Amino acid sequence: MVQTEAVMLENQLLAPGYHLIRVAAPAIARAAQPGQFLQVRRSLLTEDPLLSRPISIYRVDQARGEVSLIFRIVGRGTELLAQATVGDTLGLLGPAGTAFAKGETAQRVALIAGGIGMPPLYFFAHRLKEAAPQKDLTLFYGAAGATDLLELTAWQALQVPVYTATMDGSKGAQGLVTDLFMTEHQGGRQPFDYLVACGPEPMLKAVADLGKSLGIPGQVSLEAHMACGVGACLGCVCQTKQGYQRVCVEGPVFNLGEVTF
Amino acid sequence: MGEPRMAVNLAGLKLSNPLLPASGTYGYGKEYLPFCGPEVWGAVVTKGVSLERWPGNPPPRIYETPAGMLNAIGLQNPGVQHFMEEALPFLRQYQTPVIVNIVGKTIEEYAAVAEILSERSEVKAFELNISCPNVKEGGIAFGTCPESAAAVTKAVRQVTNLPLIVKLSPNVTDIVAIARSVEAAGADGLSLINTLLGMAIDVKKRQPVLANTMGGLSGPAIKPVALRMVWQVAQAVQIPIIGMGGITSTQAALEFIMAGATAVAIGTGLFKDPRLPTKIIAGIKGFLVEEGFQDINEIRGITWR
Repeated sequence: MVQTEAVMLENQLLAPGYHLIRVAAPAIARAAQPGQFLQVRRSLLTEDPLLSRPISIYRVDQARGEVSLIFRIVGRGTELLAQATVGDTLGLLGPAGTAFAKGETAQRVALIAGGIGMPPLYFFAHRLKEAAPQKDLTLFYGAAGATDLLELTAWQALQVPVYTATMDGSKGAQGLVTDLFMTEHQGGRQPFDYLVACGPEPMLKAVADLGKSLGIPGQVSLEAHMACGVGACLGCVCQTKQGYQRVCVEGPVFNLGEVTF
Repeated sequence: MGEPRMAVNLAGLKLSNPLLPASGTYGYGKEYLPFCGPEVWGAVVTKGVSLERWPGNPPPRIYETPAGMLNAIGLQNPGVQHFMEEALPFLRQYQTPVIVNIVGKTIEEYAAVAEILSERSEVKAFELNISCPNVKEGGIAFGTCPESAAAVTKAVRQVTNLPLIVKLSPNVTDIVAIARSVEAAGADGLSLINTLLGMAIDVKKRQPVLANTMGGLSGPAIKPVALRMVWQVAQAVQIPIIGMGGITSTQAALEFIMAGATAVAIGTGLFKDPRLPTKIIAGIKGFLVEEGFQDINEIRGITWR
C-alpha cells in the first residue's frame, strides 16, 4: 500500500452525476488487484471534507502506470473530485482491501452489478479474460434508469454479454437485476456456477440469498463509510459470521454467505 | 546552530519527541506500518484494552461532519489476554515506549487490566480512558464527576507503580475540577481531550445516522475547545498533559504545547494523512530553529508562564 499524490490525466463526465478519472500512479497500477479500492482526496490541504473517499478501481494500465476510477457525486468530497481538472494532483492511498477470487473451478460466472457497483467488476472481468479465457462471463447490470448504466461499450469491447435492468424501465428489463439474473439462470442454456456481485446492500443481500438457495458460491463487494482505510479505526465494520469485520481490510470482498445482511 | 532538542519527560517517561498517536486511531501499531511505524512516535498509545473481549457497537459507526467526524466504535477490542499474545510481541520490537490505554465497565476491571499488564516489561505507562462517550457503562460514566474519576484513579494507583495518565472528557461542566481531583488521587499525567458528544441525522431516513445514535466528535472542528481546556488545566495542575483534539498541522501542535501540553497526540489527523506525525515533527523542529529555541521544553506553556 502506498500514499501518493497523483496527477489527473482525464476527468470525463460519463453521465449526469458520474465521473471517470484517470490518474498517473505507477506503484498503485503495479500492485492493484480487481476488487481493491483507493482512498481518494482532492488535496492534502483541505480539512473540510476531512476524510478521503474509498473508490474502487475500474481500470488499470500497467504499461502506462495509470489507474482509472468511476464515482458518483454523492456529497462534497466527490463533488470536489468532480471539479478537479487535468493536471491537478489528487491524494491517493492504496491499493487497499481484498481482491476478487477467480473461482477456480467455476465455468459460468455471473457478474451482478448494481449502480455504481459496476466498475470493480469490469476490472475483474478484464483480468479474468486474460487469466482464464475459457471461463464464460455474463454481466447483469441494474440501475435506477438508463443514464445510470455506464460504460456499456467497454463491456461490449470486452466481449462480455450484458443484461440490463432499470427500475424505471428506461432500458433493459424493468425491475430488479437479481430477478433478471434468475430469469436467465433458470431459462438459459446452462446455469451459472459462480456469482460475483457489487452494488447496494439490498441487492447484495438478494444475491446472498440466491447463492444460498441455489447452492452457488461466489463473492460480494461491500461499500462502507471509512475513515482510515487501513484497518486501524474500526469505523467501517460489517456484521459477519465471525463477528464484526473491517470492510477496508477483511473486505471489501467477502465470500458469499460470510456477511450477515 | 545544531538540531533543536525534541525530547520531553512525560510523567517519568523519556520520549524522543512529543508526538503520540491518540488511543483508538492507531490500533496496536501494525496497521500504519507502511506510513508511520512505532519508531516515528515519542510513545505508542494503544487502542483501549479491556479485561474481556468487547465486540463494539453495530454499524454505521462513523460519519463525517464539517471539518470533523463522529465515531461510535464502542471500544471494540480483543481483551487483555489477546493483547498480550498478539500486540505486545509486535510492539516489543521497537524502542518506543508503550502506553496502554485501559477501558473497563467497573473500577475492578480497570484495576485488573492494570495489574495484569504491570507484570509486562514492554508496558511503560497506562492511560485510563474514563471518558469514552460510546459505551453505556464505564467509560464516560467515570469521567464526568470528580469523585468517580478519583475513585478509578485511586484503584488503579494501588495496583501499579507505572506512570498513570488519565484521559479526561470534555463533556463536563468544569474540566479543571475533574483534573484536580484526578491529580489528587495519584495520577501522574492527564490526556485531554477525548471526543465531544455529538450526533447527526439522516433526513431521508428520519433517523440518527449512527446506529448508536450519538458518537464522539473529533477532528479540526473541536480544536479550539480542546486547546482552551488544555490551557485551563495546564495552569491548574502540576502533572504533565498530553494535549489532543483536532491536531492536523505543525501550527496546531505548537499551539497545544504553548498552551501547556508536554506532549501532543494525533488521532483523526492520521486518517487524513498517515505521514502527519513525521511532517509535524519536522515542522516543530523547523519552527524552533527559526524562532531561536534550542529545546522544545522552552516553549511549553509559554503563553501563560
